[in-house]
Amino acid sequence: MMVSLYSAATGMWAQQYKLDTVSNNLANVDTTSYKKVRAEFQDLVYQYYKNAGTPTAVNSTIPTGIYFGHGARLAATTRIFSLGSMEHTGNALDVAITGDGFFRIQLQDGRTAYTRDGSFKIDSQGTVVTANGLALIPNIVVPADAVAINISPDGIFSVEMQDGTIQNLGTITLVRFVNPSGLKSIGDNLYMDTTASGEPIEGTPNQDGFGALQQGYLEKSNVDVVKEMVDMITAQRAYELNARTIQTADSMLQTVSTLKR
Amino acid sequence: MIRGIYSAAMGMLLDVAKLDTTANNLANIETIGYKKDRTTFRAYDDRAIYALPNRNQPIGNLTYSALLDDVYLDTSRGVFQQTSNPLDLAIDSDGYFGLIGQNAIYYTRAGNFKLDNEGYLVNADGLRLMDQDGQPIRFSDGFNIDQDGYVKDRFNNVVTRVAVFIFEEPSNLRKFGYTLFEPTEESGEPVAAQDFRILPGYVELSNVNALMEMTKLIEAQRHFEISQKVVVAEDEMLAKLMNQVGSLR
Repeated sequence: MMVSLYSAATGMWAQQYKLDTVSNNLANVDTTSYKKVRAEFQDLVYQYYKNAGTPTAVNSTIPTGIYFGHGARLAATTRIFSLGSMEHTGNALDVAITGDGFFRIQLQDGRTAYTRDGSFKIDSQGTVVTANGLALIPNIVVPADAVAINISPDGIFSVEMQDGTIQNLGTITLVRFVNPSGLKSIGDNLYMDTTASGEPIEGTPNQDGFGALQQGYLEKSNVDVVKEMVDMITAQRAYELNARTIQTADSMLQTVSTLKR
Repeated sequence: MIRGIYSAAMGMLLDVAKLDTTANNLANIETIGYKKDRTTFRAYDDRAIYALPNRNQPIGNLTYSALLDDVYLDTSRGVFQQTSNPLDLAIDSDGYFGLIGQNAIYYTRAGNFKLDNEGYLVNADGLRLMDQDGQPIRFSDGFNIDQDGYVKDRFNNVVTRVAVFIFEEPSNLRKFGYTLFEPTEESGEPVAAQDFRILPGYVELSNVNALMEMTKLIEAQRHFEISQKVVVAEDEMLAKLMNQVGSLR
Protein backbone atom coordinates (compact mmCIF):
# COMPACT_ATOMS: atom_id res chain seq x y z
CA MET A 1 0.00 0.00 0.00
CA MET A 2 2.72 2.44 0.97
CA VAL A 3 6.30 1.57 0.04
CA SER A 4 7.48 3.37 3.17
CA LEU A 5 5.86 0.79 5.45
CA TYR A 6 7.96 -1.97 3.95
CA SER A 7 11.13 0.14 3.60
CA ALA A 8 10.95 0.98 7.29
CA ALA A 9 10.35 -2.66 8.15
CA THR A 10 13.53 -3.69 6.30
CA GLY A 11 15.38 -0.97 8.19
CA MET A 12 14.16 -2.33 11.52
CA TRP A 13 15.06 -5.83 10.45
CA ALA A 14 18.59 -4.72 9.55
CA GLN A 15 19.07 -3.01 12.90
CA GLN A 16 17.86 -6.12 14.67
CA TYR A 17 20.68 -8.03 12.95
CA LYS A 18 23.13 -5.37 14.02
CA LEU A 19 22.04 -5.77 17.62
CA ASP A 20 22.37 -9.55 17.28
CA THR A 21 26.01 -9.23 16.19
CA VAL A 22 26.75 -6.60 18.85
CA SER A 23 25.31 -8.79 21.59
CA ASN A 24 27.31 -11.79 20.41
CA ASN A 25 30.48 -9.69 20.33
CA LEU A 26 29.83 -8.42 23.85
CA ALA A 27 28.98 -11.91 25.12
CA ASN A 28 32.40 -13.02 23.84
CA VAL A 29 34.39 -10.07 25.14
CA ASP A 30 36.34 -12.42 27.43
CA THR A 31 36.48 -15.39 25.06
CA THR A 32 40.06 -16.35 24.22
CA SER A 33 40.99 -15.34 20.65
CA TYR A 34 37.39 -14.41 19.76
CA LYS A 35 37.22 -12.28 16.60
CA LYS A 36 34.49 -9.70 16.42
CA VAL A 37 31.83 -9.71 13.70
CA ARG A 38 30.54 -6.63 11.92
CA ALA A 39 27.13 -6.38 10.27
CA GLU A 40 27.23 -4.54 6.93
CA PHE A 41 24.20 -3.16 5.13
CA GLN A 42 23.26 -2.18 1.60
CA ASP A 43 20.34 -0.38 0.05
CA LEU A 44 17.87 -2.44 -1.98
CA VAL A 45 16.85 -2.02 -5.61
CA TYR A 46 15.26 1.17 -6.83
CA GLN A 47 12.04 1.52 -8.74
CA TYR A 48 12.21 4.10 -11.50
CA TYR A 49 8.93 5.80 -12.31
CA LYS A 50 10.46 8.29 -14.65
CA ASN A 51 13.98 7.93 -16.01
CA ALA A 52 16.42 10.78 -16.16
CA GLY A 53 16.74 12.11 -19.67
CA THR A 54 13.09 11.57 -20.59
CA PRO A 55 11.93 14.45 -22.79
CA THR A 56 9.45 16.81 -21.18
CA ALA A 57 6.73 18.81 -22.90
CA VAL A 58 8.74 22.02 -22.94
CA ASN A 59 11.63 20.86 -25.12
CA SER A 60 13.98 19.79 -22.39
CA THR A 61 14.77 16.58 -20.55
CA ILE A 62 14.16 15.55 -16.97
CA PRO A 63 17.46 15.96 -15.17
CA THR A 64 17.19 13.27 -12.53
CA GLY A 65 13.90 11.43 -12.84
CA ILE A 66 11.73 9.95 -10.14
CA TYR A 67 12.61 6.82 -8.24
CA PHE A 68 11.95 5.22 -4.90
CA GLY A 69 14.11 2.89 -2.87
CA HIS A 70 12.89 -0.14 -1.03
CA GLY A 71 14.89 -0.09 2.17
CA ALA A 72 18.00 -1.83 3.40
CA ARG A 73 19.32 -5.35 3.63
CA LEU A 74 22.01 -7.15 5.53
CA ALA A 75 24.78 -7.57 2.95
CA ALA A 76 27.40 -9.37 5.00
CA THR A 77 28.54 -10.22 8.48
CA THR A 78 32.28 -9.84 8.27
CA ARG A 79 34.57 -11.31 10.87
CA ILE A 80 37.42 -8.91 11.58
CA PHE A 81 40.68 -10.77 12.14
CA SER A 82 42.63 -7.99 13.79
CA LEU A 83 44.95 -9.06 16.58
CA GLY A 84 43.58 -9.18 20.12
CA SER A 85 45.69 -8.10 23.06
CA MET A 86 48.01 -10.63 24.70
CA GLU A 87 47.38 -11.64 28.26
CA HIS A 88 50.10 -13.17 30.40
CA THR A 89 48.93 -16.36 32.11
CA GLY A 90 52.20 -18.03 33.05
CA ASN A 91 50.73 -21.38 32.07
CA ALA A 92 53.28 -23.42 30.07
CA LEU A 93 50.60 -24.81 27.73
CA ASP A 94 49.06 -21.46 26.86
CA VAL A 95 50.27 -20.35 23.44
CA ALA A 96 49.38 -17.13 21.66
CA ILE A 97 49.99 -16.47 17.95
CA THR A 98 51.38 -12.94 17.74
CA GLY A 99 50.40 -12.41 14.11
CA ASP A 100 48.87 -14.28 11.20
CA GLY A 101 48.04 -17.98 11.50
CA PHE A 102 45.81 -20.68 12.91
CA PHE A 103 46.47 -23.88 14.83
CA ARG A 104 45.12 -27.05 13.23
CA ILE A 105 42.79 -29.20 15.31
CA GLN A 106 41.60 -32.73 14.62
CA LEU A 107 37.82 -33.02 14.98
CA GLN A 108 36.27 -36.24 16.26
CA ASP A 109 34.96 -37.12 12.77
CA GLY A 110 38.48 -36.83 11.36
CA ARG A 111 38.08 -33.45 9.67
CA THR A 112 40.44 -30.58 10.37
CA ALA A 113 39.32 -27.39 12.07
CA TYR A 114 41.31 -24.24 12.74
CA THR A 115 41.61 -22.08 15.83
CA ARG A 116 43.64 -19.25 17.30
CA ASP A 117 42.75 -20.34 20.82
CA GLY A 118 46.04 -21.66 22.23
CA SER A 119 44.83 -22.65 25.71
CA PHE A 120 46.02 -26.24 25.36
CA LYS A 121 45.74 -29.01 27.94
CA ILE A 122 47.19 -32.48 28.33
CA ASP A 123 44.77 -35.41 28.42
CA SER A 124 45.20 -38.69 30.33
CA GLN A 125 47.38 -40.15 27.52
CA GLY A 126 49.65 -37.08 27.55
CA THR A 127 48.32 -35.80 24.20
CA VAL A 128 48.20 -32.04 23.71
CA VAL A 129 44.49 -31.16 23.27
CA THR A 130 42.21 -28.13 23.22
CA ALA A 131 39.91 -27.25 26.14
CA ASN A 132 37.30 -29.53 24.49
CA GLY A 133 39.72 -32.48 24.28
CA LEU A 134 40.36 -32.26 20.53
CA ALA A 135 43.91 -33.14 19.53
CA LEU A 136 46.35 -30.63 18.06
CA ILE A 137 47.83 -31.41 14.63
CA PRO A 138 50.66 -32.50 14.54
CA ASN A 139 49.98 -34.90 17.37
CA ILE A 140 52.28 -34.23 20.33
CA VAL A 141 52.44 -36.63 23.28
CA VAL A 142 54.12 -35.39 26.45
CA PRO A 143 55.89 -38.16 28.43
CA ALA A 144 54.58 -38.66 31.98
CA ASP A 145 57.98 -37.98 33.58
CA ALA A 146 58.54 -34.59 31.89
CA VAL A 147 59.06 -31.76 34.36
CA ALA A 148 58.93 -28.68 32.11
CA ILE A 149 57.47 -27.79 28.73
CA ASN A 150 59.09 -25.32 26.38
CA ILE A 151 57.55 -23.95 23.18
CA SER A 152 59.86 -21.81 21.09
CA PRO A 153 58.64 -18.82 19.02
CA ASP A 154 59.13 -20.88 15.85
CA GLY A 155 56.99 -23.74 17.15
CA ILE A 156 59.50 -26.29 18.46
CA PHE A 157 57.81 -28.20 21.27
CA SER A 158 60.36 -29.66 23.72
CA VAL A 159 60.23 -31.02 27.26
CA GLU A 160 62.78 -31.22 30.04
CA MET A 161 62.97 -34.70 31.58
CA GLN A 162 63.55 -35.51 35.23
CA ASP A 163 67.22 -36.24 34.52
CA GLY A 164 67.70 -32.79 33.02
CA THR A 165 67.84 -33.87 29.37
CA ILE A 166 65.84 -31.95 26.74
CA GLN A 167 63.60 -33.99 24.46
CA ASN A 168 62.27 -32.54 21.21
CA LEU A 169 58.65 -33.69 20.64
CA GLY A 170 57.88 -32.00 17.36
CA THR A 171 57.08 -28.67 15.74
CA ILE A 172 53.74 -26.89 15.91
CA THR A 173 52.97 -25.67 12.40
CA LEU A 174 50.42 -23.04 11.52
CA VAL A 175 48.16 -22.45 8.54
CA ARG A 176 46.81 -19.29 7.06
CA PHE A 177 44.17 -18.38 4.49
CA VAL A 178 44.00 -15.91 1.63
CA ASN A 179 40.66 -14.70 3.02
CA PRO A 180 40.28 -15.57 6.70
CA SER A 181 36.95 -13.69 6.80
CA GLY A 182 35.61 -16.44 4.54
CA LEU A 183 36.16 -19.12 7.21
CA LYS A 184 33.06 -20.69 8.66
CA SER A 185 32.66 -20.48 12.43
CA ILE A 186 31.51 -23.72 13.97
CA GLY A 187 31.55 -22.53 17.58
CA ASP A 188 33.95 -23.53 20.35
CA ASN A 189 36.48 -21.03 18.88
CA LEU A 190 36.86 -23.29 15.85
CA TYR A 191 36.72 -22.43 12.15
CA MET A 192 36.35 -24.59 9.05
CA ASP A 193 37.75 -23.72 5.62
CA THR A 194 35.33 -22.94 2.77
CA THR A 195 35.67 -22.15 -0.93
CA ALA A 196 35.54 -18.47 0.05
CA SER A 197 38.44 -18.73 2.48
CA GLY A 198 40.68 -20.60 0.03
CA GLU A 199 42.85 -23.63 0.80
CA PRO A 200 44.93 -23.60 4.00
CA ILE A 201 48.57 -22.64 3.44
CA GLU A 202 50.90 -24.39 5.87
CA GLY A 203 54.00 -22.83 7.32
CA THR A 204 56.36 -22.50 10.25
CA PRO A 205 55.66 -19.89 12.94
CA ASN A 206 57.80 -16.75 12.82
CA GLN A 207 58.58 -17.29 9.10
CA ASP A 208 57.01 -16.30 5.77
CA GLY A 209 54.59 -13.86 7.36
CA PHE A 210 53.33 -16.23 10.02
CA GLY A 211 53.13 -14.92 13.57
CA ALA A 212 55.52 -16.13 16.26
CA LEU A 213 54.29 -18.33 19.10
CA GLN A 214 54.43 -16.91 22.58
CA GLN A 215 54.34 -19.39 25.42
CA GLY A 216 52.58 -18.40 28.63
CA TYR A 217 50.30 -15.93 26.88
CA LEU A 218 46.75 -16.08 25.54
CA GLU A 219 45.25 -13.89 22.87
CA LYS A 220 42.20 -12.07 24.20
CA SER A 221 39.21 -11.16 22.07
CA ASN A 222 39.54 -8.16 19.75
CA VAL A 223 36.17 -6.80 20.90
CA ASP A 224 36.30 -3.13 21.81
CA VAL A 225 33.63 -2.69 24.49
CA VAL A 226 33.23 1.06 24.01
CA LYS A 227 32.78 0.66 20.27
CA GLU A 228 30.23 -2.11 20.75
CA MET A 229 28.28 0.05 23.21
CA VAL A 230 28.22 2.89 20.69
CA ASP A 231 27.05 0.43 18.02
CA MET A 232 24.32 -0.73 20.37
CA ILE A 233 23.13 2.84 20.86
CA THR A 234 23.11 3.60 17.12
CA ALA A 235 21.29 0.30 16.42
CA GLN A 236 18.61 1.12 18.98
CA ARG A 237 18.14 4.67 17.74
CA ALA A 238 18.03 3.65 14.10
CA TYR A 239 15.46 1.03 15.05
CA GLU A 240 13.35 3.68 16.76
CA LEU A 241 13.61 6.04 13.79
CA ASN A 242 12.37 3.34 11.45
CA ALA A 243 9.55 2.49 13.85
CA ARG A 244 8.61 6.17 13.75
CA THR A 245 8.38 5.97 9.94
CA ILE A 246 5.91 3.11 10.27
CA GLN A 247 3.86 5.11 12.78
CA THR A 248 3.79 8.08 10.40
CA ALA A 249 2.72 5.90 7.46
CA ASP A 250 0.08 4.32 9.65
CA SER A 251 -1.32 7.65 10.78
CA MET A 252 -1.43 8.88 7.18
CA LEU A 253 -3.36 5.78 6.20
CA GLN A 254 -5.74 6.50 9.03
CA THR A 255 -6.17 10.04 7.69
CA VAL A 256 -7.02 8.54 4.31
CA SER A 257 -9.63 6.25 5.79
CA THR A 258 -11.43 9.23 7.37
CA LEU A 259 -11.69 11.02 4.02
CA LYS A 260 -14.99 9.37 3.25
CA ARG A 261 -17.51 9.84 5.99
CA MET B 1 -15.09 24.23 -6.96
CA ILE B 2 -14.62 20.55 -7.58
CA ARG B 3 -11.03 21.08 -8.69
CA GLY B 4 -10.09 21.91 -5.09
CA ILE B 5 -10.61 18.26 -4.19
CA TYR B 6 -8.12 17.21 -6.85
CA SER B 7 -5.56 19.82 -5.86
CA ALA B 8 -5.72 18.65 -2.26
CA ALA B 9 -5.53 15.01 -3.28
CA MET B 10 -2.44 15.71 -5.43
CA GLY B 11 -0.88 17.36 -2.40
CA MET B 12 -1.55 14.23 -0.37
CA LEU B 13 0.14 12.07 -3.03
CA LEU B 14 3.24 14.22 -2.74
CA ASP B 15 3.35 13.57 0.98
CA VAL B 16 3.27 9.85 0.29
CA ALA B 17 6.22 10.28 -2.10
CA LYS B 18 8.10 12.29 0.51
CA LEU B 19 7.39 9.63 3.12
CA ASP B 20 8.57 6.85 0.79
CA THR B 21 11.86 8.64 0.18
CA THR B 22 12.34 9.44 3.85
CA ALA B 23 11.56 5.84 4.82
CA ASN B 24 14.27 4.58 2.47
CA ASN B 25 16.76 7.13 3.81
CA LEU B 26 16.06 6.13 7.39
CA ALA B 27 16.21 2.41 6.58
CA ASN B 28 19.71 3.03 5.20
CA ILE B 29 20.94 5.28 7.98
CA GLU B 30 23.60 2.67 8.86
CA THR B 31 24.44 1.62 5.31
CA ILE B 32 28.07 2.22 4.42
CA GLY B 33 28.43 4.53 1.39
CA TYR B 34 24.70 5.25 1.13
CA LYS B 35 23.72 8.62 -0.34
CA LYS B 36 20.35 10.03 0.60
CA ASP B 37 17.59 11.02 -1.81
CA ARG B 38 15.62 14.22 -1.77
CA THR B 39 12.32 15.12 -3.35
CA THR B 40 11.39 18.37 -5.03
CA PHE B 41 7.90 19.50 -5.93
CA ARG B 42 6.66 22.05 -8.36
CA ALA B 43 3.48 23.93 -9.10
CA TYR B 44 1.62 22.42 -11.99
CA ASP B 45 -0.58 24.10 -14.52
CA ASP B 46 -0.36 27.72 -13.46
CA ARG B 47 -3.25 29.31 -15.35
CA ALA B 48 -4.67 32.76 -15.67
CA ILE B 49 -8.22 33.10 -14.46
CA TYR B 50 -10.72 35.48 -15.96
CA ALA B 51 -13.57 37.52 -14.65
CA LEU B 52 -17.03 36.40 -15.59
CA PRO B 53 -19.14 36.92 -17.60
CA ASN B 54 -17.10 37.85 -20.65
CA ARG B 55 -13.94 35.89 -19.71
CA ASN B 56 -11.64 38.44 -21.27
CA GLN B 57 -10.46 40.24 -18.16
CA PRO B 58 -7.65 38.29 -16.48
CA ILE B 59 -7.79 38.72 -12.71
CA GLY B 60 -4.74 36.68 -11.66
CA ASN B 61 -3.17 33.27 -11.71
CA LEU B 62 -4.34 30.11 -10.05
CA THR B 63 -2.22 27.04 -9.50
CA TYR B 64 -4.27 23.97 -10.08
CA SER B 65 -2.07 21.41 -8.52
CA ALA B 66 1.38 20.34 -7.35
CA LEU B 67 3.58 17.65 -8.86
CA LEU B 68 6.52 15.56 -7.82
CA ASP B 69 9.25 17.22 -9.87
CA ASP B 70 12.10 14.87 -9.23
CA VAL B 71 13.87 12.68 -6.75
CA TYR B 72 17.54 13.46 -6.72
CA LEU B 73 20.71 12.24 -5.14
CA ASP B 74 22.41 14.23 -2.41
CA THR B 75 26.08 13.36 -2.83
CA SER B 76 27.32 15.24 0.23
CA ARG B 77 30.02 13.51 2.25
CA GLY B 78 29.00 11.02 4.95
CA VAL B 79 30.68 10.69 8.33
CA PHE B 80 33.92 8.69 8.46
CA GLN B 81 34.08 5.92 11.00
CA GLN B 82 37.32 4.36 12.12
CA THR B 83 37.30 0.58 11.91
CA SER B 84 41.05 -0.25 12.04
CA ASN B 85 40.36 -2.88 9.39
CA PRO B 86 43.10 -2.42 6.74
CA LEU B 87 40.72 -3.50 3.96
CA ASP B 88 38.27 -0.68 4.74
CA LEU B 89 38.87 2.30 2.47
CA ALA B 90 37.14 5.67 2.59
CA ILE B 91 37.59 8.28 -0.15
CA ASP B 92 38.42 11.58 1.53
CA SER B 93 37.79 13.57 -1.65
CA ASP B 94 35.31 13.51 -4.50
CA GLY B 95 34.99 10.35 -6.52
CA TYR B 96 33.92 6.75 -6.59
CA PHE B 97 35.59 3.35 -6.60
CA GLY B 98 35.12 1.30 -9.77
CA LEU B 99 33.84 -2.25 -9.35
CA ILE B 100 34.08 -4.75 -12.17
CA GLY B 101 30.66 -6.28 -12.78
CA GLN B 102 29.82 -9.00 -15.26
CA ASN B 103 28.68 -6.65 -18.02
CA ALA B 104 29.38 -3.20 -16.66
CA ILE B 105 31.47 -1.18 -14.27
CA TYR B 106 29.68 -0.02 -11.17
CA TYR B 107 30.69 2.89 -9.01
CA THR B 108 30.47 3.06 -5.26
CA ARG B 109 31.71 4.92 -2.21
CA ALA B 110 31.19 1.90 0.02
CA GLY B 111 34.79 0.94 0.75
CA ASN B 112 34.23 -2.00 3.07
CA PHE B 113 36.25 -4.40 0.94
CA LYS B 114 37.08 -8.03 1.58
CA LEU B 115 39.31 -10.60 -0.07
CA ASP B 116 37.89 -13.42 -2.15
CA ASN B 117 39.38 -16.92 -2.26
CA GLU B 118 41.81 -15.86 -4.99
CA GLY B 119 42.99 -12.86 -3.00
CA TYR B 120 41.24 -10.15 -5.03
CA LEU B 121 39.77 -7.13 -3.25
CA VAL B 122 35.99 -7.43 -3.55
CA ASN B 123 32.86 -5.81 -2.14
CA ALA B 124 30.20 -7.69 -0.17
CA ASP B 125 28.73 -9.03 -3.42
CA GLY B 126 32.07 -10.24 -4.76
CA LEU B 127 32.57 -7.48 -7.35
CA ARG B 128 36.28 -6.80 -7.78
CA LEU B 129 37.84 -3.40 -7.15
CA MET B 130 39.47 -1.83 -10.20
CA ASP B 131 42.96 -0.35 -10.41
CA GLN B 132 44.06 2.49 -12.70
CA ASP B 133 44.64 0.06 -15.59
CA GLY B 134 41.14 -1.37 -15.29
CA GLN B 135 42.43 -4.61 -13.79
CA PRO B 136 41.23 -6.21 -10.54
CA ILE B 137 43.50 -5.70 -7.54
CA ARG B 138 45.06 -8.81 -6.10
CA PHE B 139 46.15 -8.56 -2.51
CA SER B 140 48.95 -10.68 -1.09
CA ASP B 141 50.57 -11.09 2.23
CA GLY B 142 51.81 -7.93 3.89
CA PHE B 143 50.23 -5.66 1.30
CA ASN B 144 48.91 -2.29 2.31
CA ILE B 145 47.25 0.71 0.70
CA ASP B 146 48.54 4.18 1.39
CA GLN B 147 46.70 7.50 1.51
CA ASP B 148 47.30 8.20 -2.17
CA GLY B 149 45.73 4.89 -3.11
CA TYR B 150 48.98 3.09 -3.99
CA VAL B 151 48.92 -0.63 -3.24
CA LYS B 152 52.31 -1.60 -1.83
CA ASP B 153 53.84 -4.98 -1.09
CA ARG B 154 55.66 -5.77 2.11
CA PHE B 155 58.92 -4.28 0.81
CA ASN B 156 57.06 -1.00 0.12
CA ASN B 157 57.24 -1.44 -3.66
CA VAL B 158 54.26 -0.01 -5.50
CA VAL B 159 52.25 -2.81 -7.11
CA THR B 160 49.38 -0.77 -8.51
CA ARG B 161 47.09 2.12 -7.65
CA VAL B 162 43.43 2.07 -6.72
CA ALA B 163 41.31 3.92 -9.27
CA VAL B 164 38.97 6.68 -8.15
CA PHE B 165 36.58 8.08 -10.75
CA ILE B 166 34.99 11.49 -10.77
CA PHE B 167 31.88 12.60 -12.62
CA GLU B 168 30.92 16.01 -13.88
CA GLU B 169 27.49 15.81 -12.25
CA PRO B 170 27.60 13.05 -9.63
CA SER B 171 24.09 13.94 -8.40
CA ASN B 172 22.81 12.61 -11.73
CA LEU B 173 24.24 9.15 -11.19
CA ARG B 174 21.64 6.42 -11.25
CA LYS B 175 21.20 4.30 -8.17
CA PHE B 176 21.48 0.63 -9.01
CA GLY B 177 20.86 -0.54 -5.44
CA TYR B 178 23.35 -2.44 -3.27
CA THR B 179 25.16 0.93 -2.82
CA LEU B 180 26.21 0.84 -6.49
CA PHE B 181 25.83 3.69 -8.96
CA GLU B 182 25.67 3.71 -12.74
CA PRO B 183 26.68 6.64 -14.93
CA THR B 184 23.99 8.34 -16.99
CA GLU B 185 24.14 10.77 -19.88
CA GLU B 186 23.53 13.62 -17.44
CA SER B 187 26.21 12.54 -14.95
CA GLY B 188 28.90 12.47 -17.64
CA GLU B 189 31.53 9.82 -18.32
CA PRO B 190 33.75 8.62 -15.47
CA VAL B 191 37.19 10.21 -15.44
CA ALA B 192 40.02 8.60 -13.47
CA ALA B 193 41.22 11.07 -10.85
CA GLN B 194 44.93 11.54 -10.20
CA ASP B 195 44.63 13.65 -7.11
CA PHE B 196 42.62 11.91 -4.42
CA ARG B 197 42.99 10.83 -0.84
CA ILE B 198 42.17 7.43 0.62
CA LEU B 199 41.75 6.76 4.32
CA PRO B 200 42.64 3.14 5.01
CA GLY B 201 40.99 1.75 8.14
CA TYR B 202 37.94 3.99 7.75
CA VAL B 203 34.52 3.60 6.17
CA GLU B 204 32.20 6.35 5.02
CA LEU B 205 28.84 6.01 6.72
CA SER B 206 25.61 7.19 5.10
CA ASN B 207 25.00 10.93 4.77
CA VAL B 208 21.49 10.57 6.22
CA ASN B 209 20.76 13.06 8.96
CA ALA B 210 18.20 11.67 11.42
CA LEU B 211 17.05 15.13 12.50
CA MET B 212 16.31 16.26 8.93
CA GLU B 213 14.50 13.04 8.13
CA MET B 214 12.36 13.23 11.26
CA THR B 215 11.42 16.80 10.36
CA LYS B 216 10.36 15.57 6.93
CA LEU B 217 8.25 12.85 8.54
CA ILE B 218 6.42 15.44 10.64
CA GLU B 219 6.07 17.76 7.66
CA ALA B 220 4.63 14.99 5.47
CA GLN B 221 2.23 13.78 8.14
CA ARG B 222 0.88 17.21 9.09
CA HIS B 223 0.59 18.46 5.52
CA PHE B 224 -1.22 15.25 4.72
CA GLU B 225 -3.71 15.93 7.53
CA ILE B 226 -4.25 19.53 6.44
CA SER B 227 -4.88 18.46 2.84
CA GLN B 228 -7.32 15.89 4.12
CA LYS B 229 -9.20 18.69 5.92
CA VAL B 230 -9.41 20.54 2.60
CA VAL B 231 -10.87 17.48 0.89
CA VAL B 232 -13.41 17.09 3.69
CA ALA B 233 -14.35 20.80 3.52
CA GLU B 234 -14.85 20.57 -0.24
CA ASP B 235 -16.95 17.50 0.30
CA GLU B 236 -19.13 19.33 2.82
CA MET B 237 -19.62 22.21 0.44
CA LEU B 238 -20.67 19.81 -2.30
CA ALA B 239 -23.11 18.19 0.10
CA LYS B 240 -24.63 21.57 0.88
CA LEU B 241 -24.85 22.35 -2.81
CA MET B 242 -26.68 19.16 -3.54
CA ASN B 243 -28.98 19.12 -0.55
CA GLN B 244 -29.77 22.75 0.25
CA VAL B 245 -29.26 25.05 -2.71
CA GLY B 246 -32.42 25.28 -4.68
CA SER B 247 -34.22 22.61 -2.75
CA LEU B 248 -38.00 22.66 -2.69
CA ARG B 249 -39.65 22.65 0.67
